[in-house]
Amino acid sequence: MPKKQPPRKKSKPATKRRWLTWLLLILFISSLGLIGYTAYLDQVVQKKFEGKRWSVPSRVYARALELYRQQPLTPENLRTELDLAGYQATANGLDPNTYRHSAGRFMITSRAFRHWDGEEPARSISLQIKGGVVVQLSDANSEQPLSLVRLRPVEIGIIRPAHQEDRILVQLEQLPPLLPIALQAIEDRKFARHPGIDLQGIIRAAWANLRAGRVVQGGSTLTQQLVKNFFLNSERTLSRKINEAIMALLLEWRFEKPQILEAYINEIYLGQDGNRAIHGFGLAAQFYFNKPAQNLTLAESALLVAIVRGPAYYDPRRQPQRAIERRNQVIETLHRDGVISSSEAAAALASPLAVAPKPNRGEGRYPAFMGLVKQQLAHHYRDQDLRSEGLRIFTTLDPIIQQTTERALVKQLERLQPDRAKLQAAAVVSRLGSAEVSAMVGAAEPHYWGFNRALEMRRPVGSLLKPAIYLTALAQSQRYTLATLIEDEVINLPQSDGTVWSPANYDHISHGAVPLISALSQSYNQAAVKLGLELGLRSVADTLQQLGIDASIPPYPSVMLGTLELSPLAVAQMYQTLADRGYYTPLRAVRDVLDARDQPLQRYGLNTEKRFSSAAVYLLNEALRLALREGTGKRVGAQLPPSLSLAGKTGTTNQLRDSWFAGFGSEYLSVVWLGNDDNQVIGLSGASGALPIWAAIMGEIEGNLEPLPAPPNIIRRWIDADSGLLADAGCEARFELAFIRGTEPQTYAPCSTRREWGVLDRLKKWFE
Amino acid sequence: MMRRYAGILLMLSLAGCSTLPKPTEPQSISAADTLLAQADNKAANGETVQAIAILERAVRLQPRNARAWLRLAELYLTRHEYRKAEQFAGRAVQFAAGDPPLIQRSKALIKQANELQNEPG
Repeated sequence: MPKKQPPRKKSKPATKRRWLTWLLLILFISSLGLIGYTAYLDQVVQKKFEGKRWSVPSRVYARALELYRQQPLTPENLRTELDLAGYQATANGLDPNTYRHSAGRFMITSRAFRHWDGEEPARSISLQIKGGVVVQLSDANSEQPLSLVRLRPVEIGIIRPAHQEDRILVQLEQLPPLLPIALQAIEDRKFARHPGIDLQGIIRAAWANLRAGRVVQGGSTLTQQLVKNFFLNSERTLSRKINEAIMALLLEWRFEKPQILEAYINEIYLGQDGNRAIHGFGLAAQFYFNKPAQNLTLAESALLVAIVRGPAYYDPRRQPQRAIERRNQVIETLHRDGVISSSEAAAALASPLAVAPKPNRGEGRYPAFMGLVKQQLAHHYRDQDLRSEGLRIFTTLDPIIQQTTERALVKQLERLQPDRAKLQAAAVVSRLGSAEVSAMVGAAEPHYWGFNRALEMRRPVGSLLKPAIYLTALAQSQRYTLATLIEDEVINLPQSDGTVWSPANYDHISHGAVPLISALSQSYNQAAVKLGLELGLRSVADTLQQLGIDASIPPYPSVMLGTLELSPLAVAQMYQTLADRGYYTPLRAVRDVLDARDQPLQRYGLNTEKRFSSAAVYLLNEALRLALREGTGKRVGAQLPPSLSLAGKTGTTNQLRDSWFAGFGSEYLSVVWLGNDDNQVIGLSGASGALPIWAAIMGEIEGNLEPLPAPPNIIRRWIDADSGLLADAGCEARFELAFIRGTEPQTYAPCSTRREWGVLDRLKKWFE
Repeated sequence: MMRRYAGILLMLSLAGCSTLPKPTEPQSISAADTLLAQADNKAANGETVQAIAILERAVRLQPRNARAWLRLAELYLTRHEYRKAEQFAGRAVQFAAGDPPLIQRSKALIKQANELQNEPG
């Protein structure tokens, strides 16, 4: 079939038409391409945005305060809890999230809250506290008594547990209000109005750059800067600029201004700490001023805003002159805009940079405790679970006890500080039975992030270790009792390096044969080493491990006098096993984790394991009670209310470098450490430094719970202190000691009026 | 005259006694009892994990509540976690002083858990 040939020659209009078609086609394809590319960028931006800022961080909660009748609680503490949990004090306490208080009577209205094990309904409760005890608790509307009510827990932090990046996320409303204002005044005046890019700004900048012949001015909006930060690419090419502009427009189209501003505040690059990039104002506030962003002053806020333009160029540590000049420009701009008064401006301009000497890292009000939470999450939960978004993490922190602990510590430090400028501190408080960590302080300034001494520091523990030696002995109940005489005498131990180790007592006196209970309560070093060698280092090390110390324990005799280095948390774990009468229960900070759909993650429940006979630990604790009341802790211990059943041990290291106290009552255990980071002498013993803090904490938090009754196989006998034998009225130095039935001495002491009847006595016993 | 007033006062105070609950006695079931009952409900529905979590809450409220420790032990026994059952029953014994039946039940559970632990397979 012959084809019809097209005409070879085209008319002019036809050619023109063809060109037009081509042009349209090209335009069509390129606009398709542009749409496609824009759609692609839209995906990229959204993904990045959702993945970064819009990944919902995990919320961390303190323990929920449980309210019930007969519960020990003071009105002050309830108010503290309510205030921290964000309840407003009002005249009637009937609106959601408000309360009313007068003379021990409370009206509290809560919103519904989803706890990990169920929902607490929205309701108003009325409650009365009398004499430090909740005496009435009922539903305010129905007036029905309530047996148990849980308050909404205090939110203690926001974290992204599976992300390695450390960022302190801040919400807009948490920032000093001046900071976002200053940021917009300096970086992007039209932020509230522009669609993502500011054409005028770009033209102005381009003109300025053209005139200067180099880049002197940036026309980037906050949105563009945010995009730039997302993609961590600082090359200045035209294509990148165009990409940036399109993405900025998309971002503005997709998200609200406050969301973008908040993302910016958490994302913007503000400095470098070695190989760690400092992103976000939250982290920058810690990095430069060692404080939470909420507490930034006007001058400090202005400095951070000043740094945005060039964190290296305006580095306040390296370039203080440049930094202060630019900071002052920011302050002057704010003044010119009428945001701050002349006097405010003058004061801020006059203030020094006041940058903290050392960078610190952290988040929230309870940095030390949060450190423990992160550690336990990483240890106990699956990484893939932690990566899911919007987790709600329920912890064991008791904000009231935390506050008590912080105050006790700060108060004592203030008393001691004038002589000891660098004095540092750490404390751990845990609950008996459940072994939940109630409070943790990792620094002398509890709210400022830094080295977490409660968790990360290892220091020699001194005599805190001695209970392990004595427990090893008392566990061999046929061989050792509290009355067994131990030789406290000079010991010379040749060392492998040819030297001779001869430990001395604190008072540099050897005390001769002393009952085991006195050797421990007076913390005699020579008696402890003597006993430890008798028992064998291996068995003492085993005891330590059974108590919950998982550090490797070197086989040197000096270990027994506490050259072993432990963290305060590890010491707490060791004493927890003593406080729980031989039951080892791992200390825990995380109770439960819910995912974004309120489904619990695989939980790790309470665990407990009997490691020692309750009777042996009971005897040991008798010695620790004596140590506090009449032994090394006497100075403070003798003044504690007799109604509290407290026990504990001092720890002091070489030449007074570390001051420790660890001990427990009927409900709580706490460990306090004082020392210098550089291991300098602080001139405080365990009794003069840590013990007063410990006593202040325990005096506040311990209720009057009766001591746990002695195990059934415990009996008591009067013992002569000199001979360790049975005593009666004839003996001057006698004291009543506990024994495991059948291990008590059978003979009377020489001082006893019944001495000669010793044999008869035994016969009599036989017939009993 | 005085005597009559005294009589009225006495009657009033007696009336008060009969209508008002005594403050020393629990006005309704205790907080821990509430939780124990909740845990029993969950356990009866087969929600053992939830029941355990609620009992842990009871233990937190009253670390010396021997019944809560024993219930935990019983739940672990049903979950064939014998070692845990044994240990938790041990805690029950620790806190059950003055309640011989509870001690007996706890000790029986320890024995049972022990036997089951040592069973081959």
